[in-house]
Amino acid sequence: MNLLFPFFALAAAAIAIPILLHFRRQPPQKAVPFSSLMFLEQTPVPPRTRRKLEDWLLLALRCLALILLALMFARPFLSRPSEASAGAGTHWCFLVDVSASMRRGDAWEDAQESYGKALQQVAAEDMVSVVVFDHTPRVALSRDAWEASAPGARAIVAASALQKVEPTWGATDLGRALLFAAQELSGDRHRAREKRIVLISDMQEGASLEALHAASWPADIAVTTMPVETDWKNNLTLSAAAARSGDDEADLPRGGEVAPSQGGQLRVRITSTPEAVNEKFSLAWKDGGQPVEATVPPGGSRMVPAPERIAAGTDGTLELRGDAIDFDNRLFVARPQSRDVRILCLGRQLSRTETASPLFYLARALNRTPALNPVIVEKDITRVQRVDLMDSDLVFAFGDASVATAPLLREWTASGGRLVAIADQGCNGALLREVTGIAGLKLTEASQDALLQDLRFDHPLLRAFAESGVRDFTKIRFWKHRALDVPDTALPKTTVIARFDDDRVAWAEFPVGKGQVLFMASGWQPSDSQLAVSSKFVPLLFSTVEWALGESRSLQSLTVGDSLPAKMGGWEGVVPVMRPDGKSVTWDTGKESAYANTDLPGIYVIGTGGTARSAAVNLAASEGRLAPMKIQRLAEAGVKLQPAGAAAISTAAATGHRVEDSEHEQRQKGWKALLLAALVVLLLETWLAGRRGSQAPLPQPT
Amino acid sequence: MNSLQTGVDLPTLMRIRSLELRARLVMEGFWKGMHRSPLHGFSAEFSEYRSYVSGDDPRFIDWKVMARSDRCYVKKFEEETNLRCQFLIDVSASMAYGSGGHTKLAYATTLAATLALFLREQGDAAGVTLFDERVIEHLPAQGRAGQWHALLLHLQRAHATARGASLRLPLRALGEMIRRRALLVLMSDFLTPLDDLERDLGLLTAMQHDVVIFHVLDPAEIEFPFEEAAAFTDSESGRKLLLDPSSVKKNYLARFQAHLERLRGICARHGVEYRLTRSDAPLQEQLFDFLSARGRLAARHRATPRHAA
Repeated sequence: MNLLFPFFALAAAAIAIPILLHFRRQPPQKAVPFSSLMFLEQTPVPPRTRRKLEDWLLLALRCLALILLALMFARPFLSRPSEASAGAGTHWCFLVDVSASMRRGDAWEDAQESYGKALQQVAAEDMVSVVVFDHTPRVALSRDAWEASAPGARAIVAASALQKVEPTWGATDLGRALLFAAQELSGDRHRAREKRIVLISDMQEGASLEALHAASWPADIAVTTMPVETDWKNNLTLSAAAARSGDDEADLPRGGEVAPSQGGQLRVRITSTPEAVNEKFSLAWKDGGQPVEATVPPGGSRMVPAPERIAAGTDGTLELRGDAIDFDNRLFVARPQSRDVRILCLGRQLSRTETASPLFYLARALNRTPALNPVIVEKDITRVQRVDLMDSDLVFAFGDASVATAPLLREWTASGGRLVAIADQGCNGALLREVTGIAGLKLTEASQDALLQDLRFDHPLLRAFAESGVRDFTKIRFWKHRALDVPDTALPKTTVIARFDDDRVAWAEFPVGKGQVLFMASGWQPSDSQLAVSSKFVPLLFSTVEWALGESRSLQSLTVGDSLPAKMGGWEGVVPVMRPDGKSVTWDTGKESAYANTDLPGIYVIGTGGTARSAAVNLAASEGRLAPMKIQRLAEAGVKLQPAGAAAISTAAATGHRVEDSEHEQRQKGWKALLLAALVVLLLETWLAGRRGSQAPLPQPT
Repeated sequence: MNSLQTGVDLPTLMRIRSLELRARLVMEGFWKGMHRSPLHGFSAEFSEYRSYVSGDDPRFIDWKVMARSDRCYVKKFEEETNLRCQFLIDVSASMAYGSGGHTKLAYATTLAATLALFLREQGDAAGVTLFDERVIEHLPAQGRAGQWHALLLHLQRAHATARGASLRLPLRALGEMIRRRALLVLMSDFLTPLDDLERDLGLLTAMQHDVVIFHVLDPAEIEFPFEEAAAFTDSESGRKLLLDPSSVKKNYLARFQAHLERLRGICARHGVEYRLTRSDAPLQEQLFDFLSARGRLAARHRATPRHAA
């Protein structure tokens, strides 16, 4: 039985009053008139140790009446058995970090110990789920499995949930894991049950919280953190660096790209944790060679060229030495395998030697890289033939096409081609209009120069510029540009990638059948803008090539958990995959368009013979950022935090409790029965008290 | 004496408001219970002889009459005629106590009225004196017309005073008020120290008065039947005593009996007829006791004649 207003039950303490009155030693109140006291003397009145049965009955009735009244005001009710058995209590979701950073030192053992301690909070009526996470969360013990196990065995079931779990090599997507756990708890049908997430993690700074910013945190779910404290200082992280841009701007952080200007030499980034003691480090290939020594300041990073390889052209492992934590001290490099990319440039009077021609800059920017071998072919745009478009991976169209060639380009694009349409001076948008099929589309010449703004760095074209050090495009001036007018009906199809500061579209993407058209409202040659002479031109072109190829990464820039598209390596049919652990598996590219089982860092060799290609899968660089995250970041992301050991029930859960309880009590109306019982008891007490008073009195004078 | 218990029972009798009616009912019951011809008292006005009644001195039985008539008669004496009787009734506060539905005072006044009626029918004079620690009302015994009604009036109006009987009954004052030799019927509960009583009674008897004491007591005073602890209140002084009756009863009865014994001793030494009168006893019995006492007094006088007052 429960009480809706338990405070009123305290009134039952009032039974102390009749009890005290019953046992108090009171001098006889009865006065007996007598003729003369001459023969009498004062004597002590003995305590009434023997009381009549009726006195006890009266006491019992009075106490019972008080208790019934107190209970009536407290409004008792009976919880439904189904909810009483399943119900109250807490639904725990233990969220355990199994990312690569948990491999260091005793981190995993400490995590298991913390898990064991956290399980001690679980009461008999509670429910438990266990979720492990790295870059993806997954259930280790489901709610259904918990409920299905015998109550006496649940503690063992929970304790054994992590027995077969080991830390992986994946990165830490903490935001996604928290949302996953919250979703697990939100699926609990019992709305009055408290919901708690216990996060057991090293809470490293490199953990991603991006997912939390895109979702709202449930108000009834609280998170308690149990940080795994382990050594994080004095760590150096080895990761791949992007190609050098050639100027003083910050390097673009992309993995695996080798700067062509360096003649194939790999550049790597060494990152140091704050408060690191050691600044010196050395890099050396595992298969031998002269090491490179350098220093990096605590909390800083440094880009250095990798040492020369003895066995160039083969898969290799670069090792870092000089810190105390070595799980992130290896960088796997796949042997370079260049792929030809046929780039068709269409325009009028294109020249590779004249600086006024856009081809001049394009041909110099798109040099061969270990992964890509651009083959640039130029053609007069008015004379392009269907055969020219065949086998082209990317087409650059400068200016408007002729009436005859525009349909060809449209047809080629619609079949899956990638067309970059650069609006020259004097363009009226005929090519774009023809290819996209948007009838009202037109271009007009803008009068003022402009700067870029509102760039979408999540677009594949600009993803390489997403980091803060390289996002600044304000140094690139566009002297001339074309104003694009798109009918409102076509706007939903238009993806604006960047705008000028006059709010006109600078770069936009249009879907055309199976292909895409990338529109640029201004050329990059000096007559139009400073783009060709900026440090961002080359990576922008390579991004354009990757956009055309449909890949955001190359075989050199994969991290643990990334998928290997079959298209990336040109694999077809069933191909063998040699994993870094030496095991060989088969991959049916017809059933799975991408190989997803890249759970180990290392070299994956896919295919055999001449089609065999190596893919390097490395640890995410963020896993090396081991400094503890400020817990406040979770609160800033909207997560409701609750200190460990706090017994408070969330407001929503408490409200749910009271609503349910109130509904039960209103249905049962137990107070009516108590009121009736109290009235009956009071009537009995009145009758009994009156009966005692009307008993034969002692002799009384008249 | 079952023969005296005919008629109206005492509780019912005492609920009758008219004192005269109560007295007459007692008399009627008394006569009915006697199983003899009406006794015309001790007066010689109606016959030289009178029938023998139980208690008469056998020395005065006329054996010759008995031999002749086979009836038992006693000779009357002159002292039996022209009796003056003064009823001395204690109206102190303690006389207002009663546990049986009527007070001792009501019982005493009814008894006095009954005796007075008897005496009236005998041709004797009766008076009444009410007293507590002093004489409150006094109606001398006279044979005049209206005496009976005056007596009834005094008795009817008698009520217990708030005062106690103090340490001493005003017997000296009473003796001085009653000059002529009379039969003094003293009705009191004597719940007072008896230190001066012997001297005062001696004074009365020395004045040639005959004294009959009806010691009127309530059954609760005699038996002390209380069980529940209570605060007992003295009706005269108002004093309260917190008592556990079970622990004081023994002492109370002992002291009470000692008081009665002392009173009896005093009466015996001074030739005072003493009758312990329970206020729940049938009044017919008291009337009989009165007649018995009267007879003993008369016999004593014949044995030791006294000068007429």
